[in-house]
Amino acid sequence: MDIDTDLRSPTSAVVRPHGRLNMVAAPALRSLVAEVVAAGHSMIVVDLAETVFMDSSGLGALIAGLKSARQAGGDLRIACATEQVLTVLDLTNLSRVLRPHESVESAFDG
Amino acid sequence: MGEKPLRRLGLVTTADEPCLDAVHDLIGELWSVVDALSADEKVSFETAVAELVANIVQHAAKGRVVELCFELLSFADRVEAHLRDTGLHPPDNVLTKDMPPMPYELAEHGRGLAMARLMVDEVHYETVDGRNHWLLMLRPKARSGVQA
Repeated sequence: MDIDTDLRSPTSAVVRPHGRLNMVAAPALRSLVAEVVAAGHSMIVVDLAETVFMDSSGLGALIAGLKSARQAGGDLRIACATEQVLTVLDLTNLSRVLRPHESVESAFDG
Repeated sequence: MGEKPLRRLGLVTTADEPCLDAVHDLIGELWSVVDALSADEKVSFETAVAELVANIVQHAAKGRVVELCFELLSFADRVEAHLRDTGLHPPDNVLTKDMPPMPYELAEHGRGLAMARLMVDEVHYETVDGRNHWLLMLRPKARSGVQA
C-alpha cells in the first residue's frame, strides 16, 4: 500500500493511505505514524479518501496511532472515510473514539 | 443443504497475504452478477469474509503453507462464503456461539472475528476430514431476494 505524508507544520501532518488497509498494509501505517509523531508532528489527520477497504488490522493501526499521538500531547483524527470504513467504525462503536470528519480541514479544526 | 446455487465462484490458493486481494476480486465478480443486495449488505459481507481470510492467514497458517479453498454461492434468499483450509484448528474459546466478544475500546488487536459475526447473519465452523470449514451467510433484506 502506498501512504502519502504531508507535513503541514512542525507539529502536524496528514497521512493518506491508498488502497486496502488490511493486515498487509497495517504494519506500514503503524510504523509511519509512529515515525511522524516521533519527529514532532503529533497532530495527525489520516485522510481516508483513497482507502477503499479497512479491516480490523487497519483499525488497530489507527488506534495505535491515536495512542502514540496522544501520548505525545497531540491527537489522531480521521477524515473523508468511505462507506465501508464508516460501517466498520459503526459496528465496532469506534465512531466516538475515531470520529469521522468530512474533510481534512474540518479534522484539524476539531 | 442440497439446493443448487444460482451462482458459484471459487478459487483454491495458498493462505498467504497475496490471497487477500484474490478474495476481494472474486467477491467483486460475484457482485457483478448478483445485484439484489444493498450496498451496505455487500460491504458487510465482503468485510466479514475478508476478516475470516485474514484470520486464516494469520492464525491457521502462521507462515506455513496452508491450502485455502474459497467458494462463494448465491441462492434465492442468501449468499454464502465457504472457507476450507488445511491449517491449525481454532482454539475452543474462539468458537463460542457468539464469537469472541469485542475487546475494549483502545485494543489494537482481537476484533476480527467479532466484527465478522456482527456483519453477517450466520457464522458456522466445523472440521471436515481434518480441515477447517467456515461458513458465512448473509440473507439480504431486499424484498425480491438474491437474483442471478
